Amino acid sequence: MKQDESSTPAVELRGVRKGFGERTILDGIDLAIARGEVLVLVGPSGSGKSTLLKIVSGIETPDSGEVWLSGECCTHTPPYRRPVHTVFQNYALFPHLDVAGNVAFPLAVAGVARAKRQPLVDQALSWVHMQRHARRRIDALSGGEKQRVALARALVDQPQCVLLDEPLSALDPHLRAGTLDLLQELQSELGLTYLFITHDREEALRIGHRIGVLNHGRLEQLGPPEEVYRRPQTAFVASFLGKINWLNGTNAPAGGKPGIGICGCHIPTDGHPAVPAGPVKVGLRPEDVRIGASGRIQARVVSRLFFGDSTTIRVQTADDCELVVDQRPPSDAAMGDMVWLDWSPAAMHLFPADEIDAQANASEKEHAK
Amino acid sequence: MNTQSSRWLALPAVLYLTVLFLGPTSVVLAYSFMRRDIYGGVHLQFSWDAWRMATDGITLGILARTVILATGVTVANLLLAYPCAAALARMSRERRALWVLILSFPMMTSLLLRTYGWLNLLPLAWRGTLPGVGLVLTCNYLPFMVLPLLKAYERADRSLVLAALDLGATPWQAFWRVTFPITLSGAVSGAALVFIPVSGEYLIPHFIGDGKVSLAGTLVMEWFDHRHWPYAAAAATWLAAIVLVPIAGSLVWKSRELSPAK
Repeated sequence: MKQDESSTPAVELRGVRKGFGERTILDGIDLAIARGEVLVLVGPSGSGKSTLLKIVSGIETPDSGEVWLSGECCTHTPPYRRPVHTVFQNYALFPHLDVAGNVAFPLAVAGVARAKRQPLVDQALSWVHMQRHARRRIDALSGGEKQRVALARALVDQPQCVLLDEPLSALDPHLRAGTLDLLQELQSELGLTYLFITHDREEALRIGHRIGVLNHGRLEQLGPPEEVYRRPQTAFVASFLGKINWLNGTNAPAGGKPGIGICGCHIPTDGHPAVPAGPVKVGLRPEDVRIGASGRIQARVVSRLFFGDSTTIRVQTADDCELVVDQRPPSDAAMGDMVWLDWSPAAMHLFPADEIDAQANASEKEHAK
Repeated sequence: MNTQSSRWLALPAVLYLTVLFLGPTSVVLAYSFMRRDIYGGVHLQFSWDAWRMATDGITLGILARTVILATGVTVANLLLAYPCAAALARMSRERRALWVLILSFPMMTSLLLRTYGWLNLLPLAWRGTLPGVGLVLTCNYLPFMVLPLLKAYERADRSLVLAALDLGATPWQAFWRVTFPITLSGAVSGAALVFIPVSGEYLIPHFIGDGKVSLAGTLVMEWFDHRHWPYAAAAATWLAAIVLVPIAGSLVWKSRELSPAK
């Protein structure tokens, strides 16, 4: 496959829109994936991430916008002429071919001579530690083995970008971490480019060089995992990427300095670029709140869950504000104790209240699933 | 229930086959080695006469024509049925059910009426010719090919074709390297369902062939009419042998397909 200068993105989407009938699936997506980068698109089901993957692979065509692969416009190029391969959620291995036959498939259809295929197939199988299973039938493999064969098949002819469609979701939970390690290892060893789709935020945060959060066909935020997690630009991003407490607050400057009032207490917001006018929603991650002998607000412990290395404590303030607090190492606070809560003002995520309520509700429902 | 006792469940079928099929077939085979009685029936005397006739050039020519016709009809049906089954498999469940009903409706009407209908449709020049007979047979047996193929298509995972395209296979390569192999069991079943009855077809060759297209099926009937039972029996034995080849072939193929994983 063609080697361009390294500055050309492996995949670039420009204003991609797609709808089915009345429904808009993708609403103007702009995205570029650099060579050797792992870009994770994360979002709830129905956010459009699978459609986006199909548009990159060529199985779907956008209604408008362009798809560029390694500097070539491929918007209307059929899937079999695109330098990308997909690792499918259900593996999609060919049941009539054995392991080696599956891995050799991309080479065979590309017209690579039989003798030249063998070393490439062996190499790809060794990447996924399956070289001893070359002659096995697909139906004799376990789920994890199938996934590795699917990966070897997608890597064997070294595509410009590997599209991973929820690659871990069909695996047993205990296999996921190992498979994620393998994906990460291969990526850095071989300098692969991944476009990784998942609805699992932990997977996304762990493997992504950059994370894009999709919601209702829009890319709400795109950036490195830490940035997206620490500085969410929308309430949806804040609640989708991790547990968060939402508190009602008001914009309340005091003594000429900006600040907000929540749960009957005033907190200065020097560090924040801008505090929205009027009612404010304040997001506080459970791990950002400390329980101690002194602090900002006093609250009563209403429930306590012990996890060995940590505790999850639910507290209630005099103003009926409820918060969930994660304490690692475990806190000694017991049910009914009065405790002080403290947090750094920088840990608060501030959003205009009206913009959020509906969204936060929707995402809570998603989490409840 | 253990396997010993469950074997008895097959008893009715075994009895049925023995009394009504193996018995009569043995009688047919035995008749082919006896002498002809000119008023029908046979003399209980051993004779090679019928087999001497049944291995002459004329008989072998007719048998060869039968095999060519049955093969041709089977291949034509495969070519017609593949796109048809592919289209049906992509339809919604309701539409597919409707089309399957429309497709199999002819099978529920009288074969005789349909064949008379063809006599009106067919250009006169095609009557009494092998291609004419082949055309009518192909049309008549299409559902027998489409339905097993459709079942195979429904079982086959459509995402495999998308995977093939994604991995660089052109649509043509995707068909030959993926769709065809994974639907082959349906094609084999369909081929058996078409080849076997076509080899023994009597009615359609009789009417469409206008008595000019001799085939194994018409041969048996004609010589039975001519009260040459031993020869008719020998021809019927030939017919069974012709049919046995694809049955044995498909059985061997299926048993290999189902063999345990390596």
